[in-house]
Amino acid sequence: MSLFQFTKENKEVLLKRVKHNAFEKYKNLEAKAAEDMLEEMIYWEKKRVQKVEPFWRQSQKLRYWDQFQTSYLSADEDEKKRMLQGSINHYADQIVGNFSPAIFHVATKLIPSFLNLLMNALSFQKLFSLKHSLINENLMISGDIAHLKKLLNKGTLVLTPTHLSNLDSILLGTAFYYSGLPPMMYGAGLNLFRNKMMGFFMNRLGAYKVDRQRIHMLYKDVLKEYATTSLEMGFHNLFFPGGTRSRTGAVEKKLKLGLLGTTVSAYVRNLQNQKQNPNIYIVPVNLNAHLTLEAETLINDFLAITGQSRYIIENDEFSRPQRIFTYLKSHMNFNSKSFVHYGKPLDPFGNQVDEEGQSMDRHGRYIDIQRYVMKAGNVIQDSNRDQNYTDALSHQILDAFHRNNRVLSTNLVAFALYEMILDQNPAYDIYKLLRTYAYHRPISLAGLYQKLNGVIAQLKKLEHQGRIIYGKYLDAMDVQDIVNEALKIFGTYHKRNTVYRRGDQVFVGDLLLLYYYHNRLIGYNLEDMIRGKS
Amino acid sequence: MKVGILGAGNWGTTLAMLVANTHTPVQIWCRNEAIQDEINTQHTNRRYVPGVLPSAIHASTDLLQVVASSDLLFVVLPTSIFRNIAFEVGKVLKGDQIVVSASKGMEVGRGNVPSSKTMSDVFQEETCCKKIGVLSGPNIALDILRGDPSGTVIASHYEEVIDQVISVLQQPKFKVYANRDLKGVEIAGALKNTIAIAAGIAHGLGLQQNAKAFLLTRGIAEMSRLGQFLGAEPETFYGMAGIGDLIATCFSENSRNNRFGRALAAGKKPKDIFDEIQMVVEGVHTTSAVYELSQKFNIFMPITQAMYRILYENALPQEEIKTLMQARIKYEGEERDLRYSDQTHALIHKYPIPEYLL
Repeated sequence: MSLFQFTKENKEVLLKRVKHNAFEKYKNLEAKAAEDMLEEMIYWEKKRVQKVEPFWRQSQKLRYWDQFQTSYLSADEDEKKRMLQGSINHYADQIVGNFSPAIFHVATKLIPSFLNLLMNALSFQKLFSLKHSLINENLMISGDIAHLKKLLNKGTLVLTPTHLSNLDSILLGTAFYYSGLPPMMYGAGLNLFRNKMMGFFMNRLGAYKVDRQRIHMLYKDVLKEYATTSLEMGFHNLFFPGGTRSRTGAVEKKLKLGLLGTTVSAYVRNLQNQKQNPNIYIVPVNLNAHLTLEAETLINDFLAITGQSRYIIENDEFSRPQRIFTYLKSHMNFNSKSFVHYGKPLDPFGNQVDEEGQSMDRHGRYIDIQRYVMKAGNVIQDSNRDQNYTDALSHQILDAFHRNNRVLSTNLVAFALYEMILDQNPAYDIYKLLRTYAYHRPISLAGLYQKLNGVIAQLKKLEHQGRIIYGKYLDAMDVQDIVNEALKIFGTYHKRNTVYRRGDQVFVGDLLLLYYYHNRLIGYNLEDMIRGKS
Repeated sequence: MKVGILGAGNWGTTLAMLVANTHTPVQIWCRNEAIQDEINTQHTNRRYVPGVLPSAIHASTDLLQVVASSDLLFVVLPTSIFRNIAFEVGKVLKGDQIVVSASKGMEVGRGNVPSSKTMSDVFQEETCCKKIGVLSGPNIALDILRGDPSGTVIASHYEEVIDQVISVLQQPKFKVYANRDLKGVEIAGALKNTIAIAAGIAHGLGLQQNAKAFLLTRGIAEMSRLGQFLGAEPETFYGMAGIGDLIATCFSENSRNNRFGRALAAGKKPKDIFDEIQMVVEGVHTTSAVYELSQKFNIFMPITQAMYRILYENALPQEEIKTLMQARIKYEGEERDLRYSDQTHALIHKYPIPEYLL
C-alpha cells in the first residue's frame, strides 16, 4: 500500500490498532510487571526532562512526573492499567505521522527545480544552459528497480539503507521518486523536526517521530508496534537499520534488531489474519557519496566518546543552512556525486526473493517460508525464534551492505594515504596518530600513485569475488585522474582541506577527516591484502 | 514427534538407541542395504555396536524419505561427506524442521582456500534450515551403551531446538545440558580430536600422567584461543563440550582418535591404521583444516602445528615434542596478556561478510 492511501481514515485505523495491540501485551501482565513498566517509564522520563528540557521548563515537567508518580503509587490495579493505557495512547499520538499528497507533489516538483535554480544561479552560464541538473548529474541510481516494482504488488516493501547523513532521507525520497517507487513511511528523529523547513515537509511526507531520548521499554514497544502495524496494513516502510548515522564513515557492522524484527512480527500476523499478500520484502540500499555533510561532527563525536557516542547530535552541519548550501554547491560544481544502489530483496528470514516474490535458498530452490513460523501445523508468534530469524536477516543485510558498497575516488585516495601513514607508523592507532602526526610533512605523489595501484589491484580482486563495487567510472580513470578528482572534491566543502597538493607532493590537512573517508573501505581485510598478509 | 538420524555408525546408532529409550519412534538412514536389513530384521548393528537394538528403531536407505518424515533430525556423518549430503537433504527439508549436528569436525578447505566452517555452517549454507543445534560432549558411544552415567550438551540459539532435544534424549543415565554458544560447543568438539591424537601418541610413547596433563591443559588453552578468535565464548571450552570431551577422548581406549595416535606412536602408517580401525578418524581432517586456519590468521597453535607435521609431513613425534617444549611462552596465561579478548570476533570485525567468502 502506498502512502497515498495513508488517508485520515487509515491513519485513525492505524492509531487505533497500535494503541490496542500495544496495550494487549500489557493487559494480561501480572500487577508487579505492569508496575515495573510504569516505574521504569517514570524514571526515564524524569531523566529525559533533566537532560533535554530547558531549565525554565524543567521544574514544571518534573512536577508533572512527580504527580504522576504519586497518583500511580496510590492507584489500585485497574487504575494502574488505565494509566498504562493512557501512556501508550499518548506515545502513539505523538509518534504518528501524516501524508499530504499535495505537499508530496510540491516537494517532488518544486524542490529539485528550486535547488537547481539556487545552485545554478552561482553561474549564469549554467543557469541558462539547463544542462546541469542536480538530479540528473549528481544522483546516480542503480540496482534492479524492475524487480522491486514487481514486488510492490506482491507484498510490503521495507527498504533498509546505510546511513551517512541527515540528508539521506531527502536523497532517498528523491531516488524513490525517480526510480518510480512510491513514497515510504519512515521514522525520523524528533530533533530533525526542529528544523522548521525540514519539519514542515517531514510532517507531511509520511515521517513518524522517533524520540530517541525516550529509552524506556514502553515507548520502544509502542514504536515497534507502530512499525509492525503499519507493515501489517501494507504500508511500505523505510528503516535505517543501523539506527543512527555511521560515526566512523564505515559501512554498518551491526544493526539494531528491534525495528528490523517488526518485519517477521508483521509477517506472522499477516498469516494469522490470512491476508492475501502476507509477504514482507526487505531491500538493502547502499548510499555512497564523495563527501558527507556532517563528516567533521560525526568523526569527532566518534573519537570524543568512543563507545558512548552522543547518538543524537542537534548542533551539527545539518542545523546550519550555510553548510548545507556549501555542501550542495560542492555537489553541483565539482562532480561530487551521491549513489543509491538497491540490493537484492530478502524475506524476513534472510533468504533471497525472486521476481515473483518467492523465497529461495542459496541453490535457487524455492522455500515455503510459512513453515518457518509454524509449530505442529499452526502459525505462532515466538519471540526467541523470531529474534534469531531477525539476527539471520541482519547478517544478510550487512553482507549486502558490504557487497554493494561503491568505491569512490575520495574513499580510495583517503584509504591509500592513511595506509601510507600507517606504514610509516606501524602499530599506531588513530588516537596516537592524531597526537603525533606532523601535518606539513610531504608525501610523495609518486608514492601515492604506487600505493593506489596496489589498493586498486586488490579492490578489483574483491570486485571479482562480488564483495564490493568498483564502478565503471573509476575503471575508466588512471591513478592520476583519481587523485585529481579526489583532491578537487576534498577542496570544495570541508573547513579544512582534507588533502592538498603542492607540486609533486601531497599533504594531509585534516587527518581525522582522512580517517573518516578511509573507513568506508575497511571491513574487507584490504589492509592485510595490500601488505601481502592475506 | 518423529526423529530421524542420518548415519548408522557407532554414534548414530547409539543416539538412535537413546531416542528409542524415550519411546520416540526413530528412523535411521544408512547407505548400506545390508545394515538396513540387519537393523530392521535382526535388530542389531554388529559392525558398530554390541547387543540388541530397540524395535522402535527402523532403518532406511531412502535419504529423502527419512528427512521429509522427521520433525527432528540428527546428522551423524563424517565431515568429508557432510556437505554433499546436506545439499541432498536441502531438497526436501522445510523451515519448521529441526536439525542437530552430532558430527565433530571442521570442513577441510578446497584447493588452497582454507575453510573455517563447522558442520552447522555447512548445513545453513546448503539448506533453508534455520533451527539448527549442535550436540557435543564426552560421549564415548560404548560407555553410554554400557549404561554408564553420561552427560552431553545441546547448543542452539533456538529455545525450541534445546527443548525438543532434551525431550527426546534426557533419561535417567543420560543428562542433557543446554548451551547458547553454538559456535563454541562445535569448535570444541572438533578441535579436541587433534589433541586426542596427540594424547594417543603420548600414551604410545610411554609418557606418564604428568605429560598427559601437560598436553591436555595446553591443548584446551589452544582450543580456546582459536575458538575466541572465531567468536566463541572462552567459558565453553572449560565446560563439558570442551575440557569434558577432551578428558574422555584423551583417556579412553575406545576413542578412535586416541587409538589412531597410539598406533602412530607404534610406528604404523596412517593408511594401515585406517584399515585397521575401519571408522572415520575425524581428527586427521580437522588437524589439516585447523592448521590452515592458524596459518592464515597467524594464531599461535603449537600442538596443532606439531600434529600437522606428524600427520602430513612425516615428522617424528619425538622431534615435535622437543619443538613444543621450546615454545616461546613464559606465562601460563600469556594469551590473556596478548589481549585475545580484543581479537574475539576479530574475524567478524574484519570480515562482517559471511565466512564462505573467505
